[in-house]
Amino acid sequence: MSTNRQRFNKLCAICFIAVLALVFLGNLFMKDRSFSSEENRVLQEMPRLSPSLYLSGRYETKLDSYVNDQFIFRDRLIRVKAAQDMTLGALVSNGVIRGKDHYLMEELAVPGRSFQETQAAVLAFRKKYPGKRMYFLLAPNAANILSDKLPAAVQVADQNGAMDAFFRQLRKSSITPLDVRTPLQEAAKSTQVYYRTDHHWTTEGAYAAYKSILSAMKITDTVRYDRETVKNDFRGTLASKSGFPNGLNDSITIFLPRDHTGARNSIFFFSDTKEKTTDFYQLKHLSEKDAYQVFGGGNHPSYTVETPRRNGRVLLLLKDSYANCFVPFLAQDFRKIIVVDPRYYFGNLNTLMTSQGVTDVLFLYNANTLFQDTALKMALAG
Amino acid sequence: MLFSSILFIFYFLPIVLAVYFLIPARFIRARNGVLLLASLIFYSWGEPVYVFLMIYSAFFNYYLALCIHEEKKKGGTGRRNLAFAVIVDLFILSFFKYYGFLMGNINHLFGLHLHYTQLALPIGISFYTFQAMSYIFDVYRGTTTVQKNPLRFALYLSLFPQLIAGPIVKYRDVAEQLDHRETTLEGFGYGASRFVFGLGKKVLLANAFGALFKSVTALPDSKLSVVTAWLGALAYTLQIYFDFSGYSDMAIGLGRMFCFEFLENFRYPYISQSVTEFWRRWHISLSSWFREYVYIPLGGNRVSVPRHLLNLLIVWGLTGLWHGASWNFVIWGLYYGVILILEKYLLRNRLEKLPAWARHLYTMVIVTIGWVFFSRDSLASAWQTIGIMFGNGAFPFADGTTFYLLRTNLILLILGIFLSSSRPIRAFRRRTEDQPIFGIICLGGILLLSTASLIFSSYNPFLYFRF
Repeated sequence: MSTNRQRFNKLCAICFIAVLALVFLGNLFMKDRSFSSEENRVLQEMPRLSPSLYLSGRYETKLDSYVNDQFIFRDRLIRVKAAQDMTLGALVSNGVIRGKDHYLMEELAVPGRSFQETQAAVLAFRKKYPGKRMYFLLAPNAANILSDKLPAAVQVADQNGAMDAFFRQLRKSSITPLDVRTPLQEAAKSTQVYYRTDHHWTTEGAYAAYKSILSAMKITDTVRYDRETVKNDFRGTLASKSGFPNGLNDSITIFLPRDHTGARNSIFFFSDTKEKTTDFYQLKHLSEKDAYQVFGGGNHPSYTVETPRRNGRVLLLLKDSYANCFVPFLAQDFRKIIVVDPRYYFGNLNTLMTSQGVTDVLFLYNANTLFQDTALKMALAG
Repeated sequence: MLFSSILFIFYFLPIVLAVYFLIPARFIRARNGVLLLASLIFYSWGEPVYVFLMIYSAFFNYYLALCIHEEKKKGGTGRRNLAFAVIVDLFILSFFKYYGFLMGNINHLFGLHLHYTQLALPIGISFYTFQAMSYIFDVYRGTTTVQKNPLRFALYLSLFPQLIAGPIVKYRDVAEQLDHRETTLEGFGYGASRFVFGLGKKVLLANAFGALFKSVTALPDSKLSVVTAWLGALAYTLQIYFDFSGYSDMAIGLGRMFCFEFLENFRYPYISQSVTEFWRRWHISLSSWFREYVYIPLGGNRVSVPRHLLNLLIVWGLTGLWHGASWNFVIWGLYYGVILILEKYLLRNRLEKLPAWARHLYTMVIVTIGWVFFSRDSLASAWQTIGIMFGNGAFPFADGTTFYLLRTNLILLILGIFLSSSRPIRAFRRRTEDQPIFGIICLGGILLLSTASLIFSSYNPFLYFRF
């Protein structure tokens, strides 16, 4: 018996030495990567050793990141760990819920510390411009609308309660709340209104929301759209964030106006890139990791959309990224839209309001972002 | 540096092993030199300043032991040098570990606002100080010979496998091995398998239970319930066992790879049938240190009953304090002191009449409650948790959060409870004798999954749109 044990221990020794040697040599001869497309970030490169860097402990920290970032089979090992977590029954990773039907969903955020101030800033802004029409479209998040896709054990925060409370405040100050929850729930019965792997709504979801706000915003919509799927293997932010291999990719669909239904060509002017174009959809981004940028090239501090409409209405759109796929629908209804993303915008909104002759203001946020946002109140105050 | 890191396992260890074994076994001095240098780099990694404190401690204790030795040779007792060494060792330990605690208590007690700066705790100082003191005591008592070579003593004190988290290796247990060690492929293989087991315990189990414990402690009061509180306590109970015994396994395994044999530190403590038995199986090197260098010199149990009770309480109060500078640890230690006294004087006969499962249940409930004191950062929070666990207050028995935690951790909990018993490891050892390939696949799997988990902890996707 003891000889068997000895033989096993010897085998262990040989295997252990072989594994250490192979991994060591593999790491030594593998070419370092400077960028990870999986994680969408720059990877740590070999730090240079200097006595002061060593004594301060920073060399050690950097070398530690280096060996982790450049480890052989890094991406595959990450998938191994994610699969292991799933086998053991993990339902939430990094704030992302693994739902039914291959859905990954963000956990729902509750109004954060700064939300009271955001709300006060919105109401104060209303007071400052009593003559303008103001609307607030607060989009619900997937875990709210698709609550039937949540795993039984996962509890989420009461987003509806927080939204209802916010809408009541808006109504009191005569800002028109645009509550798109019911139309989204209706649309969800027949189409996919949220991505499975990304935290945004789909174009289909945005369109359903758009159709439901027409009368509230006093716009008439005659344009009919053709849906065109431009990408079938989209893996969005939630897939990256959680590491969950949910087993199903998303497709990205864009809505192109059908001819002879009254659609007008719009001109988009992106001031940050100094680009003037009639093509809102930027297909070059489809091959990138963040394919959602196909909608207007992602987030810009601000841009303008001009459409030959003669109704004289000028819209200021204060928004987060949920608006990116929404803007093309609105473009048909206003002579001019000034799109501002307060998270990146450092100009003066008050100047904008008067100099551009704004008649309508639309806030478009998803609830998770708004409840945690700190940028909108600063933009509105400044 | 940590054992459970990519840098240690896949860079530091292979380089040190390669250099060490490239030197022929007969050049033991050169091999020792490699190990000493490696240990100093290992210790100073990320926090280079305190390595000088450890070097100082090594030379101080080395020198004082020589003084004691010289004095005894001349017919003296060596008592003065012993006292001096112990006072300085304890002073250094106290200065870094207990100064802030002491000042905080003084301020609290006398309503003062004395200003003080709590220094960062040098890693492993509690372990190496106790090792050094064991050496000093043993030289004084003549139970070990004095080490003439300062570098060899420094190697004993700083030997990286057991430097950071024990076991507390007594000098006399490794004295010979410092001069002469036998290298066998078989011993190396045993060490490697122990190391991989320990790594898996730490990375796959302890960290997962740690995450569960953390998610329970992060819950607001409104989401707590009786079962959830027990789940949190159970998670910590499993976390600390797999963490600590995993570290000991890695230390013992690494020691074996470099041909050192350390004594076992854990013997399946959670299969114990009494608290007394638990302490014979848990952190053996610490309890044997206290027994040998505090309890027995105080008179042990060969004294009057009141004195014996006092001895036990002193030893257990100090054992608690050794774990950290907070009243929670003191209470935790005294809690065991009281229970051990009760078992010794009152419960022994009654316990023996109980069926085995009841004795086991009794022990685990005591141990789990003990860990509540150990795991919380204040006595108030520990009392509150224990209150909830025993239905004190208006907390529900269980709720949706309990269901969620159970659903996402049940497999893990069952696995943890199963693996903390002795059976699976013994069965594994038996099976590997007939089917070595099975054993290799298991160990390979543990290493692969552990590596994946370590890599995943550096997984840090950068998310566009969110700043």
